[in-house]
Amino acid sequence: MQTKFEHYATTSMLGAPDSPPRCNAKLLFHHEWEARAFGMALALSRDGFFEWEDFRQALIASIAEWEKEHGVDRVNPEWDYYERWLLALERVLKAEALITTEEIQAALAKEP
Amino acid sequence: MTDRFLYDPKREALSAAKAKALEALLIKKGVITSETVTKVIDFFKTKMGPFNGAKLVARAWKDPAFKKRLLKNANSAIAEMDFPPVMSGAEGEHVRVAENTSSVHNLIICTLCSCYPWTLLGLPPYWFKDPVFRARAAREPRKVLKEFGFDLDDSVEIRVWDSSAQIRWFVLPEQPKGSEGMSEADLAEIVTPEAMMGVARVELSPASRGYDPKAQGF
Amino acid sequence: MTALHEKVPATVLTGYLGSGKTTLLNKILTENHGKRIAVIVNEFGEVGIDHQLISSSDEEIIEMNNGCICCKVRGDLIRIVDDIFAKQTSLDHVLIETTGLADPGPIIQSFLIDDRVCERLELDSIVTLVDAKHLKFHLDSPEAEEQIAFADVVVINKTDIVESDELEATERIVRRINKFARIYRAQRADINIDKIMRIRSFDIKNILGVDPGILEATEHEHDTSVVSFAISKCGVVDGTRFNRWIFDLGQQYGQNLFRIKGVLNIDNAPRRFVFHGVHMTFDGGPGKKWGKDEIRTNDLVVIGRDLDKGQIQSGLDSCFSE
Repeated sequence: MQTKFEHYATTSMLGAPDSPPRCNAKLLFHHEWEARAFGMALALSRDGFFEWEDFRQALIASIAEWEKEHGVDRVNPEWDYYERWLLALERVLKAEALITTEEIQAALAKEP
Repeated sequence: MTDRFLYDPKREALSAAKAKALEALLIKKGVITSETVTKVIDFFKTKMGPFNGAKLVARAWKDPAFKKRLLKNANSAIAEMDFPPVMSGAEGEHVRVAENTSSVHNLIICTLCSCYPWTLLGLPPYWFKDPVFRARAAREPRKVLKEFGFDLDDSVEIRVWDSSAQIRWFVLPEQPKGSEGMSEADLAEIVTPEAMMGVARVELSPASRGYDPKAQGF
Repeated sequence: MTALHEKVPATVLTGYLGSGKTTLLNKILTENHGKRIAVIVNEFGEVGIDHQLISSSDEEIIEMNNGCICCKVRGDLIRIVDDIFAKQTSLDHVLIETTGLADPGPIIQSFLIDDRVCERLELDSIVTLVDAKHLKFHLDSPEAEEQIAFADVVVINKTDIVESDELEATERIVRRINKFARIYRAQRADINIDKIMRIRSFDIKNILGVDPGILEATEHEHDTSVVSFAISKCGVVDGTRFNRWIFDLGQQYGQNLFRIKGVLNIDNAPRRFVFHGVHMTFDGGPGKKWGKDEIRTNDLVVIGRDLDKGQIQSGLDSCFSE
């Protein structure tokens, strides 16, 4: 049985519409921020801040929004899985009152 | 990788900034620590991948006595290796290894995603869970293998192993010709999860590992 | 792109001859309860359908006036499930009746293992009907015992034809065999169907722990090799050792291990680990978060035949990491 949350969470997505990019039997991240976004969602759910199924629903909804506008085309260079992930994460964090829009805006404004 | 240059760099930068902002805020609020995310990423880098399986194969190729032990009792052979504790014995279940030779070829299928020996082979490919693949692999393995580009001579016997929750199978692929002089570490580099499932040969060139920049899951 | 699609819940209904299954199925297929339920049986004769209440029928699927359907399975559950879903798109529930099957284990396992079944259906509960008056005469039959042992819900039926002390005795027998099933009483199978459907007994997130009342000993009313017991222990369970132990347990007891359910503190993780199993098939995953200062109790409930409670207890003990 999958006693480790990391294993359970990742396996639950495999073969499903929200499946993360993989290569050579490992998760595929093109950029460090993608890995951070992934790690954040996983750690927060693992530690009980939200249910993994709720995050997945948010991710699927975020992907659906994109596809409504751009169609289903995973080889389109405009497609960015982790951008969808990050949006889902932001929404779930707000829904759980862990973060507010104002706080994010303030933090972004500080960046050069 | 050329397609990625068409992607708006501003969009990329915004995502990076947002991820950084979110993480900083969560750390500031004490929801996570500065180590939390790094630890998760490390887990996937070092534990969720085919490295351990590849190391077993490489060692078996270099050390015939180890190979014998691996084929006889995989779990105890695995215990000999220097794997992290959670990685030995595939979550406690029994592991069995089937050896490919010039006369016998082995193919692994499994009923559930959770029957996959993830601690040795990493994440399963999307098609592995597909019931059509599983049904066809059981019924007409030679044809399925051919579709994977694996054309086996009729004289080669094909054995299909069904992993269950109790027994996780993996394949010890044939060592490619010309690799005899390679070190164990270099050999481990060329062993692919597909080869350990029995749907591909081990090629000498790691470039043929099928890295696909367009690969987006599914 | 669709959301994680909703699976239709399925109830496995068992019960010895005379327990009132026919009456219950008949009610479901004729009353105006407002739900679209597919009832799967071996033979239409088992249900005693009044032909005036049929809306349409072919050889295998009968549509009833109340919107429900009755389907005949010819040994192949998967095929009839495919057929049902080819025609019906808005089912609320599926009820699978298991005449002639002592051990609902194989059906249950197909829910946990078979992709084609578990893609469409999710196992909701195992419901067993029991004859309040005649159960005590059936106890020599292993089937009668096993049907009770496997259940999440037991409906003691025909309470109108027994005296209250007979009824209490029957309930004690049921409790003796199965410590964790919910027990209801009914007359002429008049159980409210909301009590036997959509109760999510197999939802691992519903496995909250062991009701302390269950841990109390019950009198030995009859001789049986079916045992059900609960183990409760504080501490930290080592994940790897636990996995090895539980799989070995399944191998050791096989068909004699009927059901097992548990809530564990594995590796001191933030969340509980919840799991359940039928014979050698197990399923588990993350449950609710542990409270900040909550005492982390590991609970396990097991039902089976000829189980060695002491050995199982010490086996679980050996999985603790401190």
